Amino acid sequence: MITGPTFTTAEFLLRPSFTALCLLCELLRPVSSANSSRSLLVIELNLGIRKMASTACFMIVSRNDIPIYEAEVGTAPKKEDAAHQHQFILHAALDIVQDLAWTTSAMFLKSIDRFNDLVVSVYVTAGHILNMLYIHTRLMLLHDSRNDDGIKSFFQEVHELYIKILLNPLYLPGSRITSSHFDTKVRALARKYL
Amino acid sequence: MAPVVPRSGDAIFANVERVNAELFTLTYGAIVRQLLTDLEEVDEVNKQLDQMGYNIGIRLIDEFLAKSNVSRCVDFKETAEVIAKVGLKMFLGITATVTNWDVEGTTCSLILEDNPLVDFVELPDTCQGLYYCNILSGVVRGALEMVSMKTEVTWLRDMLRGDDAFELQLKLLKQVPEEYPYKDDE
Repeated sequence: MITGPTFTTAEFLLRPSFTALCLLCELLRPVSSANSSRSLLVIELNLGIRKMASTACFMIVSRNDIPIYEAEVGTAPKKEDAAHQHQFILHAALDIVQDLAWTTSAMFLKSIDRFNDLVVSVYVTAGHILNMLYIHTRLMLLHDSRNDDGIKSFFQEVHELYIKILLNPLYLPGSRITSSHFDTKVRALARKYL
Repeated sequence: MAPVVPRSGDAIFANVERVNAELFTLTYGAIVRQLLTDLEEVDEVNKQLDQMGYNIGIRLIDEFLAKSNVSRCVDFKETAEVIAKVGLKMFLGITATVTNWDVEGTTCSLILEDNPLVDFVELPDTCQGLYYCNILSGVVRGALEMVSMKTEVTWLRDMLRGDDAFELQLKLLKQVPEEYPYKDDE
């Protein structure tokens, strides 16, 4: 599992706005052990800071781990190297998905991996349960929000859309999704739920 | 014997055996997909679909006449109405509206608001020239030919290409005189 460096207390102190939020969170938070409070703080901080500009990278990975659809759906301004970095993180998470998918019957696997403040959530289509590798598809989302319900709804609706794409006789399963209609719908769903 | 009354499209549709619409749609989709793989050229696929439709049409007209009790149409206008209201209803469960008649009454358009063949379908960039429903035009052409009307059937509008409806143009080329080995009054 890839885990990036987490913030240290020193870093917080260097940034006044962080510290203020940090203190605020500390005040609002109910009593908990000192150790877990730090990680919780990091999460809450990220929520506070990123609310305006979120990062989210959505990808559909077909069998043989080939990406067939990719979209940067976050509101954060695009950075040139970010897309490659996101691809890399999602690719690295595939192994974990493979292991996890067999341990549960749930389709939605939340927060399976993280990299710095980015979290990977995955929705595994029914293919792996039926052991039909042909349609074994994973919908992967790299996100920095903690809105699990929204992410789950997002996955479910995108899954619906993906099924419609699969039903198109002119679409070859496992090939790249080029439909602009699909792209528009996915981005609309991302705006709605993420 | 009491004269046989022509039956309405709805009545026939209610009585004939039906299959699941998705099964039908996907089966047709599989045919088109296979043709695209086999023939590779979109134009060839259009031709082949039309030919397949023709072959269906020349047989289907028999079933149509047997079940609908439709008698001889007086003119091409009535023919078009029967196709739109009875024929399409009987076999596809949809109806069309007939419009855009030219002055001679030989050319008209069937407007299909709904088309079960194209559920789920979206044309990818590689098959932009494809007339996905070309089989329908073939069916109509084949069926009309068996009742002594040479026609030319073309798609004018196609929802898969971004139009707002399906428009099928029927153009009557000529009435083929019937060659019966017997006379009607004998």
